[in-house]
Amino acid sequence: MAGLPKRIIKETERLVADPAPGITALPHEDNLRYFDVTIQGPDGSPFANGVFRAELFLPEEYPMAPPKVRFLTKIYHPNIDKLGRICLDILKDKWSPALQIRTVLLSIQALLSSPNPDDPLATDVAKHYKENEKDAQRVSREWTEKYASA
Amino acid sequence: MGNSTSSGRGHQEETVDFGYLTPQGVYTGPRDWNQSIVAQLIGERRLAPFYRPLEDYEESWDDEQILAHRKEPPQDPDSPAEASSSRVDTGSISSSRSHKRGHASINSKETIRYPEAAIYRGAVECPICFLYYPPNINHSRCCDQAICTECFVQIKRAEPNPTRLVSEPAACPYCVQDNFGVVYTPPPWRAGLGSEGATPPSWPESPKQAEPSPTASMKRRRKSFGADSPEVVTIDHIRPDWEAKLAAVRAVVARRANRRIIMRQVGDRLIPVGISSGRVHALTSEEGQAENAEGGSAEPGGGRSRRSRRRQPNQDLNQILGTMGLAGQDLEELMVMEAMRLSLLEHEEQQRKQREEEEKKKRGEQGGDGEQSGGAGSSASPAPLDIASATAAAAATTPSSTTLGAAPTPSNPLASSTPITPTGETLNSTSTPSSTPPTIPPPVPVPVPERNAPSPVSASTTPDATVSPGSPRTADPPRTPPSAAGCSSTRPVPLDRADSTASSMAPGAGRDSYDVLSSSPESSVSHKPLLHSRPPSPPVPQALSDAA
Repeated sequence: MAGLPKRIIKETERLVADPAPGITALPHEDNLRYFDVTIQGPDGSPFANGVFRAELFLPEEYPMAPPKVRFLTKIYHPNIDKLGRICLDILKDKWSPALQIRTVLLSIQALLSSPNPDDPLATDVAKHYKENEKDAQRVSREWTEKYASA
Repeated sequence: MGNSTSSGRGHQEETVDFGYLTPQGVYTGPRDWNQSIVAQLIGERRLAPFYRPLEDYEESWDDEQILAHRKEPPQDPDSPAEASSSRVDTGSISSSRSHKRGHASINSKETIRYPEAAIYRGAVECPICFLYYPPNINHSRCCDQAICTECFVQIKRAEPNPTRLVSEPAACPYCVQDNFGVVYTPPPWRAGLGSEGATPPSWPESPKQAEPSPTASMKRRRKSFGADSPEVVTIDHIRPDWEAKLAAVRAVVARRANRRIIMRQVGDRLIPVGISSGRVHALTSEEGQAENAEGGSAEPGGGRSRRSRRRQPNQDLNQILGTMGLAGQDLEELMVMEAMRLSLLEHEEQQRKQREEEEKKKRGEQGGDGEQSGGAGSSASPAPLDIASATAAAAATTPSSTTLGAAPTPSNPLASSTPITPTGETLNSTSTPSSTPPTIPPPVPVPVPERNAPSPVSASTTPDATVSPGSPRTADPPRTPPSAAGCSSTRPVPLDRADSTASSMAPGAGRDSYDVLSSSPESSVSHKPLLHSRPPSPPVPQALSDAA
């Protein structure tokens, strides 16, 4: 606990006291900068009814540097690659210290609703989404059922 | 003046309106802003002082509770703070001994007892560090959101690096508008001291005069300020060195892109024998002095320095190259040379082994054909151009290379950056006796753009690359890599000098035998293998076809 910035303590308290809908984030007891995250697939998306596990780490520079977030559950999404890495601007150059764990996770949830195949991380998935969105969504649903059923 | 409240407290001389000139430990990273500028701005009441934040705050708290919730002050008050405070004091702090006025509503006895607590009344939570500060806090110039000084000084441009050659002004963390800056409205009273009475209090006791400070009359605003408004302090004000940093990185990239490995062609192999310096020529002393004067006069807090620097990007570049750039550059080149040396040694070792193998085989067969074990090397291998990766990895790796019979040469031909003719001769004379000595074409300086991913074939050129033996490079200025599109508005580094450097690297060989390939650092150039290209220049294709 020593040296943990007040901001992280407060964010954690607020996350636990008032969790964002469809999102959980619990810090590890031995490392309060490391969070186990779950994100529910948004309704109406191919990821609906899925519960996706992710990890979130607050680097030393946080909040001046973005948290590191990675999906642990396999997911068929053009902006999420095989390793679970997420292509989202606010996790990179568009990070702002005014953003928080909560807003980041909500943004990731929103990304599930609105894939952006024009800025892909998983190029094959993006290609699939661009060429045949229906079929790609079918695969996304399949993966959701297969890997992300609660 | 002077009352019992203030006289007993230490470090009084370092406070401004009960806040400090140095951070109070919210962040632990490096203090990479210009602290003397920040201290000066605080002294001028253009930036909120570094207050000891409250970790929590309730309106109902009394003074003791407030003081009890203050964050522990940093353990190690660092020396730079001392230095800077005296600097500030000489000019700008109008000091009066901690008379707290203006808040008529506040019980005067309490005020006297705990002015340090009273300032926290109506405390504001900074949305970034989640700590509470006195209500006189900075506000973003664009969207009027609160931000404490501690967080403000943390916000900066992204560090430029070789793959990202632009430096965009930091955006407002709240509304993402460019050129983040803040405006500060100081309290209507003033407190804090100069250092040990060096500057006597400049105003009399009268509350009437003490009350309105120059900027205090500014009402709580709802409008936004332009980034260049005089009231605004931007993140570039407190880090005036950002342009120099950017220029330094660009210079490194430009130099690398311009560097060439001098290759000697032996058979169908290209053997690296030296490296051209991509260095931009040093400053004339006059320029250097001018620039030093310029840099030294960077006035804290002035928008002036920024603007004037912008007018002279080239001087900036030259300054960086002429001073700090040099050491790293030489080291880098040494490392590249070492990598090449190791590469060559291994290369020769392998050749020796291979030759022994073949000798053995020949003896076994009793009918060896000299052509087979020839110096030209019959086994195809990507080795010769491996130098590119060796270059990129500097001395870290020893790329494998192959073939070409030669005994290990104890002398190191790479010790000098000059292509040494004996290298080729050594290789020849030690190759298998039965082989016909391959023709040794002149060494060919090959451009090796070594930024980004080390491509094994980056020592190459395109068919389009103009190769004119007489004038190594056309008037085309070397371009910065595509990623640098955003920064192309400043003039590219003057690199012309590198040409002469390259050609001077080939003494004795003369113009006719040396061919300087275009060193245009465009990335497309670097992905085509040299051996498969057809440069229009006569000597090279000839040599290549000879070898093939």
